[in-house]
Amino acid sequence: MKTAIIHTDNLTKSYHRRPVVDGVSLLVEENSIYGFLGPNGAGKTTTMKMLLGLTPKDSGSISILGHQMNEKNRIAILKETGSLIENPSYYGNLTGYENLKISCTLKGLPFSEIDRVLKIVRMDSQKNKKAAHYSLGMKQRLGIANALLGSPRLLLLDEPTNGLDPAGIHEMRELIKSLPHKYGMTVMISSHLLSEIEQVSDTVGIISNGRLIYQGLLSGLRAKNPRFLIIKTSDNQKAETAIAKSPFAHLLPPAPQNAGSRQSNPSPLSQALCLSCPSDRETADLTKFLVELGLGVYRIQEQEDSLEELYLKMVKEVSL
Amino acid sequence: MKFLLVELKKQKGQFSGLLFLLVFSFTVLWLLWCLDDLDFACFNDITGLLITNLLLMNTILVPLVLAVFASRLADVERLGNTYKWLCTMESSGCIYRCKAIVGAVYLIIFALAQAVLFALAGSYFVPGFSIHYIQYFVTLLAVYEAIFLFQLNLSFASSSQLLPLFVSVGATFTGIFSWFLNQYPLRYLIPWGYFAALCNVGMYYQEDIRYSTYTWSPYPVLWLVILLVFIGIEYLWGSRFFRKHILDF
Repeated sequence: MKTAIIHTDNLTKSYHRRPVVDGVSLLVEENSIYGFLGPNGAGKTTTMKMLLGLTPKDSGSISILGHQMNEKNRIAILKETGSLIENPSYYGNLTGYENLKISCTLKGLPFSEIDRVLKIVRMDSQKNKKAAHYSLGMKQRLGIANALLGSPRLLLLDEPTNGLDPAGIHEMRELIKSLPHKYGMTVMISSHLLSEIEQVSDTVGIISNGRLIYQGLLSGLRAKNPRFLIIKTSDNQKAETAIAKSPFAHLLPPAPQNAGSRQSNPSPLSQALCLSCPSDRETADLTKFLVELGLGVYRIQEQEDSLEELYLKMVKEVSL
Repeated sequence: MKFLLVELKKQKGQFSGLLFLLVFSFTVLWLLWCLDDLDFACFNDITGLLITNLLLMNTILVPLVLAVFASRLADVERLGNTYKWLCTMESSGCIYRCKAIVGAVYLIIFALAQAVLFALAGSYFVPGFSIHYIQYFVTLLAVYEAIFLFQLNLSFASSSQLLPLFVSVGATFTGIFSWFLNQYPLRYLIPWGYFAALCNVGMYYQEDIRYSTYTWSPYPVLWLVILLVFIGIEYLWGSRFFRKHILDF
């Protein structure tokens, strides 16, 4: 079993008596890329700020790199942690190199680290330019370089692809994916976009309205996704009535789920029967049954909600 | 020490030193202009005249400079959104302490340069060392520190740096009034008035013979102590406020 790099227990934070993080218990394992997913305002940044001790928690406990974190040992623990929270931080009057020198001085790292991280984020040719003259994407890269200084064991990245162009996003994604096996890092990355998290993370935590509504492997999330069998026949009404009276009646979902209800992909199956996904054997028997009734079976298709739809459904359920 | 070094590094390109140098150069020129067409037969004590003039120049010039300086120290962090970065490497109390110390370093150098200017000008006319040179340095340093910490705290607390600048302009005028409103305790109530409150020279002008008599009184240690207590309170309050609200800035 892998070691827990981040472990929180019942983490809670309220602003003006309104809970923004409500009993969140995170578990981030060593050498993993943990995707922290949630809509805007769900509590992702507040949680990450609490992990870094930037926002005091109301209750609960935080353990980072095996140490229970408190105000006294916070700085010592964070020496092995790199972070990029919200917008990148920089001194506009200093060059990119000088900005990183500040981190090196404060963390007690050799300045040779600067060239190494600048090379990783492909900023080595821009290092002598003032940070104020950087584009947003370059500032973001500088922020990532800063977080990578000293090869920390844990990296906390809050929406790191903000402001990057598509090529930059792709590059950043590849970089993040390479960190665990190349440098032995554990990465916790937050985003409100499932598609982004899906491409880099193996484990996800979904937060909505301050509550952690799912935590586990992405494959586990996929398994939660119900599948349907869509059947289009020459007479759907007749087919439905016949199925209801047949041994296949259990496949018919409750009324609102039935024909024409699956609007997410309306054509060409908008006028079709929607059944709970049967086994292969049952599918064959059902097809035979419909054909024997004299119905033309035009199309049989297995369908499932996309992960995006499932995520939105989960988030919506919590919001209600 | 490394925290202080970092704080000094952040000053690069801020031209804070140049700001103080410009004010000092202006003070030198102003003093030379004052002395240029001076009739030495019209007063009894050149040292008294020098110190009152220099303190008045400070009352006029320094509040705005300190406001700009303090504002730059605070704003460099706000502009770069750097507190959430720094606070993962050093404590918030340490950030405030370093800013106050770096500010104090600049103020010591500035006050020392002014004291040397006073000593050079004074000893040119009255050879030898005078305790007034040291008193002048102490006065400047204490008042600078009180104004600087006030402006630093105000800069941290304000989202717009225009407010501290407007306050300093108003404070400059109040400081000037405090010199001429002897009958009111204004000079003892505001830090900008302490240039006048800690001035231990009195002047009596006889209009009929056009003669100014400068008289020295003992240094007002009690008011200096009160100012030092005020500085202590400013520091403690500022540090506490900063620690509490640093990430709201």
